[in-house]
Amino acid sequence: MRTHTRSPQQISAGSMADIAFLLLVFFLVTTTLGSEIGLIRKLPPAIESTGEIIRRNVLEIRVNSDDKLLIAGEYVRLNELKNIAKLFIENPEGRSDLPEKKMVYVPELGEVPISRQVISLQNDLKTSYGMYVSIQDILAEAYAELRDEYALQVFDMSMEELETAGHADKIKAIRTVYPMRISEAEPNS
Amino acid sequence: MNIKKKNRNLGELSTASLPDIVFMLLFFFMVTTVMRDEEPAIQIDKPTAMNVDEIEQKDLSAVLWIGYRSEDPIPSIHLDGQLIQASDLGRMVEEKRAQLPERLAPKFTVILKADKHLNMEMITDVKQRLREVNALKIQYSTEIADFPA
Repeated sequence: MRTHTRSPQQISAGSMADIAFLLLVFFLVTTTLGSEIGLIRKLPPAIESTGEIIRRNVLEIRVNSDDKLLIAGEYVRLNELKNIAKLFIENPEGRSDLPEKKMVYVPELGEVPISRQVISLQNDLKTSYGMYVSIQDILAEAYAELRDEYALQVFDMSMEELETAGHADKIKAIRTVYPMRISEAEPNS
Repeated sequence: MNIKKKNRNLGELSTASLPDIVFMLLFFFMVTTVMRDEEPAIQIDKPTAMNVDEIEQKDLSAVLWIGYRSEDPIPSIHLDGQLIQASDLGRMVEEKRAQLPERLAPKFTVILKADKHLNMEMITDVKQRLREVNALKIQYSTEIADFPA
């Protein structure tokens, strides 16, 4: 084998910039940097398990056709919802009309009582979507605050701090203790 | 005025590194880019929320627009920019999911971009249809609420 004699001539790189610019402009135009934000939820499977429902474990929230909130048949203002939900989920005093608790082993935490809460969100056909999302948002906030409080209590860090510090397993543990259980029931008209 | 020709022996500005700079930018955009979705010609006034999550992989999702087209009193549904009938929704969503590799199919998310003035009737109908085809992961697309000062 013989090495080729190298041609001393250089390839002109002058047009390289033009080509790159062209491509760059294409990607600039087609790109979206904005991310998709919103409330991620999981719908119940089509065939719902007809497991036994224990009354005390379910918080029934109903949004009627006038966008008014009813909890257990009583009108409730929107700004009261968060604290009602928090009280229900946590049941701090172990009341017998609020969810029961079960001792569960959670990694990182050990045996902890976990509330068997479920929040059932019902709407009418004429409920506005905006209101529905606001309520979902408030419920999410209730869960987020409970998780935060609990994280501060056991790990001395908020959920955000845990996330920045990269403690994925601790975050998972907290979420196991306060799982978001919002049942999106089919509406009764 | 005294216009004088200047002495142009400053030497040419070297542009040899320009392609490198441009390529660097190019790679950044190539890596971060997600193709812009075709947006249907409907106006959507999204609901607001604060406790939001972000979709990590937009390519594993389908976008459903539900809103009013101008002058049309009945809301219309668009799936990834294409106008569809509610009765076709389940089948079309299933097709979208079938395009993904099987291992990623459980991560498939339907993003609901719906107008906040809509009735839940429409939304519930869509949700039921999604349940029927087992597309259970959804996202209610929202705007960030303005923080109360």
